[in-house]
Amino acid sequence: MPRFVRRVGWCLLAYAAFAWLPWAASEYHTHVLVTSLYYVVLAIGWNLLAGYTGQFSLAHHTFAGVGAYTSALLVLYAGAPILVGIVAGALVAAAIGYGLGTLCLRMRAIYLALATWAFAESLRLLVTVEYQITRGDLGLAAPFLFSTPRPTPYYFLFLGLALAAVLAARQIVDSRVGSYMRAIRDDEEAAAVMGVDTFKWKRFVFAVSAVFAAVAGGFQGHYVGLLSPTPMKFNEMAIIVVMVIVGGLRTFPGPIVGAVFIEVLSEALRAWGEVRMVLFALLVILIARGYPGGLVGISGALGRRLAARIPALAAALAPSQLRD
Amino acid sequence: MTSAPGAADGWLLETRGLTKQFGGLVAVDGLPLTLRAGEVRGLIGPNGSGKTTTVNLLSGLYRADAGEIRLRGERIDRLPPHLITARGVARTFQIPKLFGNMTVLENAMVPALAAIDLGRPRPRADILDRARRLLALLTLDEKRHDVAKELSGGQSMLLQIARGLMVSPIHLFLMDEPFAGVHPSIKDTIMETILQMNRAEGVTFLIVSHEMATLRRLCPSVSVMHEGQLIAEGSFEEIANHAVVVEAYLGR
Ligand SMILES: Nc1ncnc2c1ncn2[C@@H]1O[C@H](COP(=O)(O)OP(=O)(O)OP(=O)(O)O)[C@@H](O)[C@H]1O
Ligand SMILES: [Mg+2]
Repeated sequence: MPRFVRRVGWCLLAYAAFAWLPWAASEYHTHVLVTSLYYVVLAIGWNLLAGYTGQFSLAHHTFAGVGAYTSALLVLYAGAPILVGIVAGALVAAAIGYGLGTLCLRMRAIYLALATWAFAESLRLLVTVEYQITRGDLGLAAPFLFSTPRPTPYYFLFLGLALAAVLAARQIVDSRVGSYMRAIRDDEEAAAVMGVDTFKWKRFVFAVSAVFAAVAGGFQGHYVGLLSPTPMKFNEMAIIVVMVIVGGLRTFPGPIVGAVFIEVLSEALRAWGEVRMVLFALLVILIARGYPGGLVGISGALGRRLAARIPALAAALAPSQLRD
Repeated sequence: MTSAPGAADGWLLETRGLTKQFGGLVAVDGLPLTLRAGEVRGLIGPNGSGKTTTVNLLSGLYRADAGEIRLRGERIDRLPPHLITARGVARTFQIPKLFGNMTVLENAMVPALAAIDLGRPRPRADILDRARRLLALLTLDEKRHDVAKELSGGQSMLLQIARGLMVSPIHLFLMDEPFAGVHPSIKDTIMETILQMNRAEGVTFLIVSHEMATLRRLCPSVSVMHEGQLIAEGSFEEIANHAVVVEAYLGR
């Protein structure tokens, strides 16, 4: 537990370190930050599934939609408090994620990608077609969580969510479950004959990553105030993939760095419209070919090269190798 | 040496009518294989005779089309691989299958961490200690912080063995071609390890190999497969004079 306590401390420090930003930024920039933090949560969840466990699901964005619609519908039709809606969305996403994981248990790489993609499209169509309930492309008005569309209070919320996601993911990755996940990714058969219940843990990671997405999506819905099936399109999934790969697939900070980097870049290049996707695709190809560790890998390599030049820095970095 | 309790008829492992088909091909054909606790048994046979398929059936990676497998009297042929491992069966693969992005030590720790999930936690200091001792035995301790995918073929085989021995308790170790293509000094290390674990901990071994000279030094008796069937069993002298075996190896 002391390690957990120490981590909570770090998260609180990080919270304090970033909490002042809305005062320095315009409302528009604060909105970009909120969106970045939203993507941080999504990207961390997908990295657990695709990066650490090797399950290249293309349905991660769908679970954000599941969280958003579940919560909004409960709030609108059943009069539930928003927080109850969010929790319900997380539970529904966990159940669907578990089911999707079960469907994909015996599928490898490309088949899993195709099956999850088909699942994502089906759910999007369902939301579009069931317009009596979801209002389809017209959009469903979700009440604001803080009874305002202004971004500042949501920034404080999403900063907390992102740090909670970091903490939760770190705990999982460093636990024995993290070892099971990495073993499954590297060689599923070997993991199984070494005693890892691969079916159980693949389903578990599917469910957990779905919860990450659903909580983020749920709150996002009550921030944006209008839900439509558009963010359930494949574009949204592609953005998450781009973020994680550009940041560094299977590195811990990768999805964090990638989500902020791509979201900010995307806003900066807003005038380019759809052409941005081409740029991102090129970036992904470049990274996949030359720097599989992404931005995190590149900065690590630069850091080591710098450290090699400066003996004192090298000495400071060395003890990390003594751990047992 | 520990004896194997529970097996009514005294066998550690017993298969009956074990059969596996791939399409029209019967890769394992009604195999009756029995191992006594504490034995070191060789499993030989020409290429394609069904040895690897047998190991895959025993470790639960393949499901048998017919027949049964008993471990200490208990049916295990419908169990998933991790539950067979939980009953004390470990294995290596002909072409090493490691957790390539994990370090050597992390690879060795996986069975011990998996055991926690199976409700058999052991103190971390104990498992770390055992991992270090096994890695030392298999000459890998210096490399314990290296990433597994950087190991040579021979070292990968050694790590597969160390990792398998981390299964606890371990009753049966299935080795698929552990000597194929490894340096003579590594071969010696593997032989030493087999003999020592057999003597000190009573581990039973089933060793698939083409290396007759090596098997002769390790295994008092061998089983011979041919076209999925068990065609002979006994000491080297016995099987060497067995007409069917000679024909299987030299014939056609
Ligand atoms: N997964 C599979 N699908 C189809 N056929 C298979 C499969 N695995 C094995 N076979 C076939 O079953 C037969 C037995 O193969 P197996 O690998 O068990 O032989 P082996 O005795 O281990 O041979 P070797 O000495 O070459 O390793 C072979 O004809 C092989 O082609
Ligand atoms: Mg073979």
